[in-house]
Amino acid sequence: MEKGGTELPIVALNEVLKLFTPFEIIFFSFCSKRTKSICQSIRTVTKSKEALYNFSVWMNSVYAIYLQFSYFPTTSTSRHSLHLYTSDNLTLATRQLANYISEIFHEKVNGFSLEWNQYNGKENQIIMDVFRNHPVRDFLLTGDTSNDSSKNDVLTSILKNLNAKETMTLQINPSSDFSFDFSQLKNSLETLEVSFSHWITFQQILNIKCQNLYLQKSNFLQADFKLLIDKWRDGWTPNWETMTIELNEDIDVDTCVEGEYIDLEPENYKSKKVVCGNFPIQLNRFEGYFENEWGTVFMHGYHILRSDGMIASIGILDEEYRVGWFQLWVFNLEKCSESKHTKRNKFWSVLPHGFLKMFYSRKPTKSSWEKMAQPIEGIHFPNWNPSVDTVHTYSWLASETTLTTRHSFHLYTSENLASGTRKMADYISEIFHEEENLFALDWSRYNSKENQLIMDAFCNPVQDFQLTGDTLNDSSKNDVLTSILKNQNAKETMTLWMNPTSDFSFDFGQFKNSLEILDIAYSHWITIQNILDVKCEKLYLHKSKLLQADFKLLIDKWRDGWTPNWKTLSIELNEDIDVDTCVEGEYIDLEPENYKSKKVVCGNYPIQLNRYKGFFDSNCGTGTTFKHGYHILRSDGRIATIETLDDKYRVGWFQMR
Amino acid sequence: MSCEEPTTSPTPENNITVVSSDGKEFLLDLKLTEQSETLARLISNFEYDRTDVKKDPVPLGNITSAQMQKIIEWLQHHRYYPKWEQNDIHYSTSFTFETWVEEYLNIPNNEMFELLNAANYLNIPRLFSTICRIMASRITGKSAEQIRTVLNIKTDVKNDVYTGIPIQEDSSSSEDGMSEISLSPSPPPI
Repeated sequence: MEKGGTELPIVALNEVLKLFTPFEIIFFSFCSKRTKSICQSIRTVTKSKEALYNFSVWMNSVYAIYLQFSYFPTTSTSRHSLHLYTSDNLTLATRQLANYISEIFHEKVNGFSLEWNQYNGKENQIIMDVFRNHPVRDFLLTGDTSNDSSKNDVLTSILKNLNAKETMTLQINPSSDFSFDFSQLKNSLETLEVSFSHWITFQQILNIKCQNLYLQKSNFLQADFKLLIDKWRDGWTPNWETMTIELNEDIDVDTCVEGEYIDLEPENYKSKKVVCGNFPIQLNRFEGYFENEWGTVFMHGYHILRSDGMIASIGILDEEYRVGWFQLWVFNLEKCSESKHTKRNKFWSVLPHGFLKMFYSRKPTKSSWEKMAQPIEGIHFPNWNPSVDTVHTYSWLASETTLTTRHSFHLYTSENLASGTRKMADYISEIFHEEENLFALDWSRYNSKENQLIMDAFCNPVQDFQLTGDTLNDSSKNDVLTSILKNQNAKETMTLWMNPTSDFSFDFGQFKNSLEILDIAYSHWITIQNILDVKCEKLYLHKSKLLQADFKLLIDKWRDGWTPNWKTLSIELNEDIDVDTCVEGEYIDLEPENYKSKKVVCGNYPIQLNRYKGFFDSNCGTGTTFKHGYHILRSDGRIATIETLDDKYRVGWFQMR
Repeated sequence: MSCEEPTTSPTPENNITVVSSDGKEFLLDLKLTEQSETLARLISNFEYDRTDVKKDPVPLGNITSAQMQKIIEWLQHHRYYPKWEQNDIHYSTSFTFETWVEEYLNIPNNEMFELLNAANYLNIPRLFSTICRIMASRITGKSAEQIRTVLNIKTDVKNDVYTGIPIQEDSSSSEDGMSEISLSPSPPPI
C-alpha cells in the first residue's frame, strides 16, 4: 500500500477499532504513544472488552510467551493465540505483558496459573517473587510430582507465597508424604478445590478456612465422613460452609447418621421451617433433585438439626456414590444469592431490630458505577428496586418460627468501604431518628490496616458490639485484635465470638466503658486474673480452659473477702464440676420451699453454707431444668450463690446477691 | 452483493445541483441523494423534492470535484441497494468485499482518507463503513511497524534493534510496563 500524506481521520478510528480483535488493538497501541492513548480511551475498546471473554498471558518453560484470548463478537466464542519470544527474563516479561494488556483493557489481572513442575526450584522462586505481590482473584496450580518427594519443599513455598483472593484450584498431584498447613495461606478463600486429595488429612479438613471446599480423589473412607458428621453433631463447627468430597469407597449416607429420623415430604425437602418444626427429632431424611445442564440430578441425604439451632445437610447424588457433600446452613450471615464471583464483605451496620442491613460488594469498575445514581456522595445505587424475600426466623426462646420480609439493596462505593458504610449508617440513622445500636465486625476478614480504618470509622459509642473471627492458628494478628478491643466503644453488651490463639491476652481494664454483658464464646485465653479484674454486670465464659480448682479458688477468694467487679459469672470449665467439693465447711440443706429464701439463709447464720436443690421452667419449651448449689453467707452479710445445672456439669454459676 | 444498474439521466424535475469546493457543478438525481443523510435532510428541509420549488445549487465547501465524482460513482452503483442499516444482513464485519468495491477503493491512502471524510460529511454510512472495513482489513495481521506504514502514523516510540517492534517509553504507563521487553532475533524452536 502506498504511503499517504495524511493520517486516518479520528472520526474513523472508532469504527476501525470496533472491527479489531483484542490482539489488533494491542498491536495498534504499540504504534505510538497517541495510539496507545486512543486504545485506552476510545469507547470502542470498551465494546471490544465487553465481548472479551478472557485474555491469558502465559509462558512455557523455554522462551515463549503465549497470548490467548477468547471472545464472542457475534454469537459464537472464538479463541485466538499468539506466541512471542523474549531474550529477557521470561517471568518478568510475562508479568510486564500482562500489566500492559491490563492497562489497555482497564481490567485487573484476575487469574494466575502455574504448572510448577515445569520449572526448577530457582525458577519457581523467581516466578513467585514476580507474582506474589500482585493479588489475583483465582489461582490455579498444576503439576504431577507424585513420584518425586524431593520437590515438596518447593511446592510448600509456592503455596505459602501465592496470593489468591477468592479461588484456589490445586490440580497438583504431590507425593503421598506431602503435607501443608493451610493456615499459612495468605488470604481467606471463597473456594478451595483440590483435585488429588490423597495428601489431605482429616485434621486439615477440620482446620481449613474457606467457604466452599472441594476434595476429589481423596483417600478418605465412609468412616471418616461419618466421623466428621458425628463431630459436627457433637458441637464442632467447621471453618467452611460447604464441602464436597470424593471418598475412596461408595457412601451409604443412611449409615452415616444414627438416631431417629423423619422422612421429609418431597415438597418440603428444602424447608427449613419443616426441619425446625420436627425438633426434637434431629434427622430429616430427604430425597430431592436439581436441574443442571445435563438434566435432572437426583440426590438424597439428611438435614441435621443441632441443639444449638444450626442445621447441616449431608447427602450424595444418586449417580455418584463416592461423592458426599456436607453443607452448613448459615442463618446468621443472611446468605443471599449473588453472582459466583462477587465477594461479600461480612461487615455490616445494624439499626434496631435488624430491619436493615447493608452489604457492599466488590468495587465495580469506574465506568459502571459512574452510570449509577449517587444520591449520597460516594455511595452508588445501581437501581431502586430492592430484592424482597421472605425470611423464616426460628426463635428458640419463643419456640416458634416467625415470618418477616427482608428487603435488600446492594450498593457500591467508590470510597473506602469503611467510610462508605459509616456514611450510609449515619444517613439512615438521621432519617429514622434512631441511633445505631449494634456494630458487628468479622475482623479476620480484613488486614490490620483495614481493621484500623474500620475502627476509626466506627469509633462512636454503640449499645452492642459483636466481634467474630477465627485466628486460632495465627498469633501474628494478636496486636490487631488487641487494638480492636481497646478501641471498640460498646456501652452495654460485648459479644466476643472470636477465637484467638491460646497465647493471646488482653487487659480488660483497657475497655472504654463498663459493660452490662460480656459474652466470650472461646474463653481458652481467659485467665483467672482476667476474671478477677473484668468489670461488667454479667460475665459469660464459654469453652474455657479453667478447671474446677480455679472455680473453687474464686469461691475461696470471695469467702476471704474479695468482691468481684461483676455480679454474675457463668463459666464453662474444661472438666465437670462437683459443687459439693468446691466449698468447705459445715452446711445446711435448705428445704425445697426455702431454696430461694434470703431470710432463711440469713437465719442460718453462723452456718455459712446453705445447700439447695432447685429448678426452673425453661422458657425455651424444653421443660423443667433442675439445678443444685450453695447460697454462701459471708461474715459481712453478703450472699453469693454458686450452682450447676443438673444437665450441664461443666457450667458453673457464681452470682452475687 | 451486486445490483442492476439501470442507466438513468437526471432531469431538471428530479435532480438538484451540488457545487464542489472548487466550483464545479454536479447534477444529482434525487434518488441518489437518499443515500446521503446530509443531502436527504437538506432536500427535505427546503422541499426540493417538490417540482414547484426553485432548487438553488447546494454548495459543498468541504468536498472537491474529484471527491464528488468518486462519491457519485458510489451512489450510482448502490442506487438500488436497500436502505442502509447498521445491523442488517448487508452489513458484515468480515473483510471480504465485492470486486467492484475492491476496485473502487484501490486508491492511495490519502485519497481514501479524504473520501472517508467526505463520506462522513455527507453522512453516507454504507460508504463510511466500507472504507473503515477496508482500512481494518489492511491492518489486521500486521505488525505495529506495518500498521504505522498503512495508517501513516508517525512513530514516537523506540524500535527493537532486531525486530523493529517498538519499545514503548510511555511515561504514563506503569513502571513495569512494556518498555523492558526485548524480543530475541531468532526465536528458539518450541
